Amino acid sequence: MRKIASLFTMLMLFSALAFGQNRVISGTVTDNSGTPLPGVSVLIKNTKTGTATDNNGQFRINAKTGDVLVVTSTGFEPKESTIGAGSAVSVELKRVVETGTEVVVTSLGQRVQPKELGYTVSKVKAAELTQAKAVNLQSGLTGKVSGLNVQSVNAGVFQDTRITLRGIRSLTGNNQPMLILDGVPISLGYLSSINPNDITDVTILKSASATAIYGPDGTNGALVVTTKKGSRSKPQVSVGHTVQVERVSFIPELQTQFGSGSSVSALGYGVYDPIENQCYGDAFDGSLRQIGRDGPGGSQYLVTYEARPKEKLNFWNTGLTNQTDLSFSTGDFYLSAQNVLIQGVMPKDVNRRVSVHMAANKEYNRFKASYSINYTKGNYDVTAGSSFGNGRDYTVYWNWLNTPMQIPLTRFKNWRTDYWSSPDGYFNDYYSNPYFMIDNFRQKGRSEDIFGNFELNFKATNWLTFTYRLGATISNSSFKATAAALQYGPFAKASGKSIAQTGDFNSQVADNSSTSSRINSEFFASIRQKFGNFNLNAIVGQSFRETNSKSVSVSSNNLTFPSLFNVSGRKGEPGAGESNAKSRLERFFGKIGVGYKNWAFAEVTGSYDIDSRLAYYYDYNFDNINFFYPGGNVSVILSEAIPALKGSKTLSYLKVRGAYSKTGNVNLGIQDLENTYGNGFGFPYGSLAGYTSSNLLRLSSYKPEFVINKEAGIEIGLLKNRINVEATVYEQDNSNQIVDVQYSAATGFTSARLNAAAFKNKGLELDLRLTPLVKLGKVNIDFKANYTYQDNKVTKIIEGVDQLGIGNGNYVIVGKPAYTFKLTDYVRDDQGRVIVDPTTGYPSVDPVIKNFGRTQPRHLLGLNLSVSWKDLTFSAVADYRGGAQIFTGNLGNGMDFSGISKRSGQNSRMPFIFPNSSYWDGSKYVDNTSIYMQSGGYNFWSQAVNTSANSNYLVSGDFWKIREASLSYNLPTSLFGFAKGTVKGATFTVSGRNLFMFLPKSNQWTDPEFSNTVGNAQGVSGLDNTPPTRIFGATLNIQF
Amino acid sequence: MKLNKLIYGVGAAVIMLAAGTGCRKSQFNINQNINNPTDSTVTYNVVLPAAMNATGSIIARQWGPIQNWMGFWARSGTYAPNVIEETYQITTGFGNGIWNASYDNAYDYQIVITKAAQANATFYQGIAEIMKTMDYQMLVDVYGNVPYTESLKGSGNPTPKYDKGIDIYKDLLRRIDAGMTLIKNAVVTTTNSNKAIATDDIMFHADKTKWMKFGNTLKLRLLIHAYAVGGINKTAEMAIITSEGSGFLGAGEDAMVNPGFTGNDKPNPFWNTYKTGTDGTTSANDVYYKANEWGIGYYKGDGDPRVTNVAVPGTGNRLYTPGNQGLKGVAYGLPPDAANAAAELAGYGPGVYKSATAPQALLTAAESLFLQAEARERGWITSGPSAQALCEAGMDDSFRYLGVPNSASSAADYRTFNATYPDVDYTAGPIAAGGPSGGLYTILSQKWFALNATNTLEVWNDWRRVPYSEVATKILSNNTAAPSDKFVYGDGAGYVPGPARSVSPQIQPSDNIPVRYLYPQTEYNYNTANVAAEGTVTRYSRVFWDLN
Repeated sequence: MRKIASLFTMLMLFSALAFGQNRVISGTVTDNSGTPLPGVSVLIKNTKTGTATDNNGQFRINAKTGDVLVVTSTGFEPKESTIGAGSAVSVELKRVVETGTEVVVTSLGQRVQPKELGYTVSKVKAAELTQAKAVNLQSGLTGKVSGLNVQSVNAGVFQDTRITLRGIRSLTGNNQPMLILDGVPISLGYLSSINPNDITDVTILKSASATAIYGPDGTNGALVVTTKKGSRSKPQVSVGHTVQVERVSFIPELQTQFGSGSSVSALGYGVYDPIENQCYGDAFDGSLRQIGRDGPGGSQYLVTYEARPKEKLNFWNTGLTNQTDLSFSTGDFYLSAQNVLIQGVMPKDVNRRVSVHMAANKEYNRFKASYSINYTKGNYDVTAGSSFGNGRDYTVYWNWLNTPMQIPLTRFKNWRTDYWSSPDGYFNDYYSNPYFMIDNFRQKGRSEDIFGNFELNFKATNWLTFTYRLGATISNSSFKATAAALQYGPFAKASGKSIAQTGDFNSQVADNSSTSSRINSEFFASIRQKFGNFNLNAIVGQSFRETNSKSVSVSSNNLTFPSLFNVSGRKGEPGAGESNAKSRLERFFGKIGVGYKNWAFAEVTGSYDIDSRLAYYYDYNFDNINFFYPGGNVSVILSEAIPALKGSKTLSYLKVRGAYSKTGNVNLGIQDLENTYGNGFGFPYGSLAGYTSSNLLRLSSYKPEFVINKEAGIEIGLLKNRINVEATVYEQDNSNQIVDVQYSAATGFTSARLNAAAFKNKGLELDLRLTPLVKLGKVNIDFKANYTYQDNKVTKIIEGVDQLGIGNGNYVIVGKPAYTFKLTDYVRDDQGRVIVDPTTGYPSVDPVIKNFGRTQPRHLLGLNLSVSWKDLTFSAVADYRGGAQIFTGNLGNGMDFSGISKRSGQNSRMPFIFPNSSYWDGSKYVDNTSIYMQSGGYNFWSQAVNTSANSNYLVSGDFWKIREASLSYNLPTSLFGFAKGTVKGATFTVSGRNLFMFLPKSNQWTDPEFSNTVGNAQGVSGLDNTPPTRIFGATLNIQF
Repeated sequence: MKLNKLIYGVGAAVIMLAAGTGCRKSQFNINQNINNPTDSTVTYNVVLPAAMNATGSIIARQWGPIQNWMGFWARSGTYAPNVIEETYQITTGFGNGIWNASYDNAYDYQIVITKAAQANATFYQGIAEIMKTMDYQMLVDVYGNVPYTESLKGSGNPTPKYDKGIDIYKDLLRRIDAGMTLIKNAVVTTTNSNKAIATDDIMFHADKTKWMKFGNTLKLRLLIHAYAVGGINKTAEMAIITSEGSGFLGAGEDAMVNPGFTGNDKPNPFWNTYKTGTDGTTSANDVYYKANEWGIGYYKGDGDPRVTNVAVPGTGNRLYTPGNQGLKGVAYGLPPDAANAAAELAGYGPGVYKSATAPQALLTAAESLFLQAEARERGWITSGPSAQALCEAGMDDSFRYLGVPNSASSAADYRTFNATYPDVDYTAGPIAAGGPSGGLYTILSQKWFALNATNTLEVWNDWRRVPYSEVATKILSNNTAAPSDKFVYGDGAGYVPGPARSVSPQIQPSDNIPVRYLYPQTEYNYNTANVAAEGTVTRYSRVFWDLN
């Protein structure tokens, strides 16, 4: 109490002394979006007294009341500010359009002007991110920056994405960038927990050179997210609400000629079978047919025999997303809250996110403190899919595909009350009613994430600042998956209904709870000093990180009460598991940058890391767990360096740059050394323990993976920077790759984690900005385009191994790009014709898998258009990806198996000559023009001879998408006359996402972005996905 | 001024705090695996019980297709055809489980051998030596030449070369000897490293004599498989067995593992796979696999009390449980059809699936007795009970094992009922000229009857290794299943000889029951050069002891 009192007295004293004589004035210089500007010159008018702002845009100067500060910076209009009674000044500079002046936030939260950087950085501002009201930040980044590939792998309520920058750097490890939130590295998984409306901007550091100071985490680049801190002195309140509607936009192409059946008549026609899941019956004829078996008392369910494709589409709900935002900001304080409720296209899938974000900063004298904290709570309730039940049902999508075309599917919702919809009476003898699956197999989960940081800044002298930053993320999540017991009735069992024979199951539950935390401590000193024509900018620091996690799961598949889903109410033994992990990483880092005359810049960096994941506990050797790596970059602003270019009317800006860096990356899990043992099947039996060796061989020591990044770039501004072009070429050399090599089981293992593989990346990134493209009176049209070319080549795996599979048909093959598809195909002759049997006309599947195309796109193109006229703004984003293939394995062959695919309806199910085929005539392969396959129906399409030739389901993954479009209108405040002066602004926006998708003809299956994993093995979409969707929305946003 | 000091003080504290964390090198030694045991922490005694149980699981779970091929089971009309299996057009993706599971299991025994040797736990080491040979015997019998000397070396040899089947067999005999010697000399006290062997040995609970008999029986099995092959000296090998002196597993001495199967959630593996899932519900296999029309007919034709008791109607049903239509079987490969829906057909019976808590047999006493009968028949054993006595003891023991009431008298009645039929009557002459007579034909036929679902691999082995010409000159008619001179089962008279060929509509005349599995696709992918050195392998490439 006493201390506070005395502090207060002192403050009073200072202010009393303030009048009439020199005193310390502290100030902040920001741009018009509130971003602090470093390196800005602050001069007292008509004197030589001056200083420059630090990395946080702050300055201190001795001045007296009435003095005029002249604040100047390249790229901004100069501004004067008169000192008043206060001791704090804030100056907002207005930007003049010029490349290379917009401040970006780079590693460690440092604000720099891009012209100083020898590597490429891109920035996406809040307005661009949220223009189409994407619920998740990552969706809002799609198509906006070169080198960035945001892939939406699913349309479900979680909207999973995979993000890569400049392709991959690890063959089997993590390839997604790091996330830096307000200067603190946090797990990328939190991206979906961030409210996009809280963001000031996102800086994309594509290059390992840009993130070298982060060491292993930064290998894959970084997304640097800066949240709002409160920048305007006047309090502002903003309220918004968005409603979005989501509809299935694409379903795989279906045949509409044939109904249920799975056999062929003597004449070769499909035979109708009312109980079949497969669609190989006779052709639709409009007659009245029974579906399913007879009900009790001989009742029958009859339908007209015709295709009902609408029933397929109508099965999927109209998704609805409601999003409410509220924010309050004042000088040094920001508070926001958001509530998002997503109801998916999958009936009954719901995901809710509620978040609160708070940030504030306070400064005193040389001392500044700030913090931000975010709390996000998630709740979801979704279909649990395949983990439960009778072992026949796979996912809802699978059962949907196994519903023949004549079935009026949506009529079977009331399975609890309606006999024909109930498990007993449902027509399908082999698979459950999808509505039953939706209701009966549920997974409900919740999560709570808290992430926050606090930062202390101490400006020891004008040129030396100390920063300490402590960040923490704490996450706590749990889920419970349940299935209520199912007992088929005696009538269904006696009828011979197939699924009724083995379909009974007990009530089941799986319960999981996990917590994780990560603490990140960072301390560094930064120096910014001017010596004549030279500017020194240096950092030296240390960081320490500790992660902890724990997960416990219990389950039972034999609960006593049908709907009491608690593992304590079980019969028999529960399933139980536990996993714990802890890691530490300490880093010492430094960089020295020198600038000459504001047009030449050079920087060297170095890092020394100690990583506990490399430590072999049983033979601990400190020397094995630390490693050092250097980097450096240069840039020259030729337009200022070369006198002849200065003042050119055409060329306003010209910069060349180059960078080199080496990064060490530990692509190992925690406790990932040495071969492990797990419980043998069924063990323990009472007091008898039993363990069996894992099938993955791990070694007891590994070296870090090293990535050497080299890049060069040029930035050009033309015609007063109305035209900007930025180009970067890069090459990355990735060595010591830790890969899981598949082994012959005869080694005792089926795979081994080894440390040897190498590959090279190269790429080109082009960004074109036309700002404005056209300016006609009040019409302002901006256009941006970005293009990315990325390619890579595997140079080595390990001695004696030239290829390895990483799952999903994705292979790493020496001499080929990572990753390449390797799949089964038909046996072919030397001309590539499919060899058919001269008797049956059937082809045969070759057991030797063959190389196909790459799974990662080679070309990415993004187009961004923005048109504004008075208070109307229209913006749109389109993007293209090309060069990759996708394998629609489970979906495609599942649909051929079930006979519902358009493909399986070819030739009206009549025998045909296998296209481009040949046969052996006894001495040579001759072109087949005469041998018809014995069957062109069930016996071909649904059989392994068709479905196990994976090449049948390999198609081009190219696409064009109209990713976003929005139209917003700033409502005149006069509309709010009733609240005159209170409402300061209002915007109404209509927006759409994923509006159109243009696919090559061969892709009749799905969205090429979809994948059954967010891992490396891309290009394979499965039955865990729902069909692609299209989103329309409207937003009203009001500022008070 | 005071304030500045405070600020500097805080700054200094922060620096020290940050620097302090970097001081201790040992704080990074936190990577100990606290979730699972590792090579450093695992011990021989916890690996052995799981490995032995896993061997039992292989024998229980892996032979579904061979059950079908050998005429015991068939797919019910409730299920869609498994065309690959039912047309014998096996692929490199077919039946990989046996390859992976055997090597996986052998690796665990290898760990026990290494760790037990370090700890001087000789009893454990000896058991693991013997058990490991079972994995390789199965591998050779199914695949022929396989990696052996260079196998199980992890990254020490990622591409192990293939060894000749015969060389592997020869070494297996020596490994069994080594294991037997270790066990024989093992000292078990309450404090030494063998102290818990009575618990951890989930088969014989440290009964040394049983282990000697088991070892000798395994060796006899290897010798019988290779009976026609030069290069393995049967006389010398039999002399080693004789001089060891413990003999073979006798009547009632089944080699069975039981870690403590407690019920549906920790069940016997056969029960778990073919009868009832861990959640207590019916296994899909119980609906899929039903009685093979040919096989069940053969039992019924002999009035076999293991299937139905002629003398006491309504008893029996040990091998097959009647369906809605009684003891009806289905032809193997028949397209799906409601008349042959699962519920209509006979399924396997309680003598086979036993119970959730039943021990899992690795080698039944009946099989041992039939092996001895064949050895006696071939003159390898020259004293003790006659071949006929051993063969009949095998029948008696099969009845006992399967739980036929009054097994000994039932078996006697069965022999009486089938007197003069060479498949049952050891003394029978040929029914038709040139047809099989008793003796070896009886022994092998009875092995077929006895090992239904208890060790089908051995039935397939017998079918492959013994040429029909060894027991008869006249090939029983209408059997086209054999790619050459394979053994033919039947009663030598009216009953259709078998095993019956698949009736799949997709089957081609050239498709016969395979005599081996193809090497797994993973070998072609990851051990390419070594598997390529085996040349072109087809479903008719024979393993080394298969001379027919």
